[in-house]
Amino acid sequence: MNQVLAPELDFTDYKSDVTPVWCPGCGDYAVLSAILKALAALRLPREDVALISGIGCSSRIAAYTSVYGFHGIHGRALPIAQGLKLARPELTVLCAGGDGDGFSIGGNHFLHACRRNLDLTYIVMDNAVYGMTKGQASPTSAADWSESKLTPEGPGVAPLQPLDLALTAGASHVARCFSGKVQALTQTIAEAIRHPGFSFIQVISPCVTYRPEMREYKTLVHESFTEPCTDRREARRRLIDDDGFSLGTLFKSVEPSYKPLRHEPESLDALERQFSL
Amino acid sequence: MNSLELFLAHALRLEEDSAVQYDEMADALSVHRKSEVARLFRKMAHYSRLHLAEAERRAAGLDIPRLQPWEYQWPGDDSPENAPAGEADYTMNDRDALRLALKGEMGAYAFYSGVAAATADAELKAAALEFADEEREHVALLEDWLTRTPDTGPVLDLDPPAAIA
Repeated sequence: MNQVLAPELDFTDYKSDVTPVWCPGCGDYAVLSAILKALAALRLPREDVALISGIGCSSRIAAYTSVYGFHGIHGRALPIAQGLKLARPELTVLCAGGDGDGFSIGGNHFLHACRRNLDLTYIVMDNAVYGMTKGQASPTSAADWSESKLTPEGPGVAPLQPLDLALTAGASHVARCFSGKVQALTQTIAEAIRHPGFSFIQVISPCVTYRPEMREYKTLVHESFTEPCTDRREARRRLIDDDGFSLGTLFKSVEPSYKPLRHEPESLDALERQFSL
Repeated sequence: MNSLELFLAHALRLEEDSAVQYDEMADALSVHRKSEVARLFRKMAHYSRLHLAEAERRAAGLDIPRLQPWEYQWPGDDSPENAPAGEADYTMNDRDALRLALKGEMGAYAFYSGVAAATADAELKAAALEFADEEREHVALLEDWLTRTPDTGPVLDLDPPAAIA
């Protein structure tokens, strides 16, 4: 995270003048608000922050902020974010998207981003549905979710467990939040940005249009990860009893993040000498 | 809550959050071509900005604490005038929008009157009661508006999601 402090800005200063086109009631509004508030709380200069996203409803989020943004291609937000962080390590890099973008199309990138452990923050707005394409089952939809016209008997396969995956693949900071609890979400995002390593936050962010039953999620979520553990094995044990609605920071590593070796590039002459016959 | 400065810090945040959220709902419903409902939310955003201006006027010259977003002492999970999570809907009609706005205004009224009831500080109590009175006026206005607004049922969607078809 960048250490330069911006003058005190209001969270609305981090908002762009682009009007969101999310549906009324979408959880992503709260995630946007939490990101803006976390950036303002940390007093990060807007020009020192980049928000990279993929494709999908939630990936529109980059356009709704006034920090640097890149609305990338489907599933490739993390490679772009990692490339940016490697090239410009002084920037605070955030990456955001949905469960389809992050766990299906970009699933492989997710695993390796966790493993690579660069200092960036990845926020996945998980609504367990492809909303932009009108409601197909996503990698986190339940096997028996039968409200999609494409899979009327349900997808029939077990949903991915994002926290499990992140933990096993080596993510350095792992948390789950709910978009209906904005204060806690804001604090977790701020902590994740400050954390020196790959921080993953799964945000349960209801899609009230294609998953109207998610309105009841506010009665299902519960604070369970009250204190993050620093032992990966202990974090895994905690997940055994996870019902998918446990909230809080599950794991925070004390291991250092990956930093590439930096040295001056060799001169052209030196390079040419290596290839001389 | 034990000081006028801390109370005003909360009032400033509450009114700004409320204005921003009402504007977001107005924008979202405009995108879905619900211009009447959008206009209603825009009006509520205007009221919240008037309240915000009043709070700013009261805060001028005082040493208002700069709280982190998670340090506000709200009774619930979010700013009390904000609509509860997930209760807006793209099929909402005027009555649904009024009911949602009413919940927000009642939340703000409960917050301000709760602060007034809990404090022994005369200056803080007076300020909190004043803010509560204004919210009560909004509650009465919305209740009256609701009685004059017919229930037209959900807005027709010719290609609804399978989950609500």
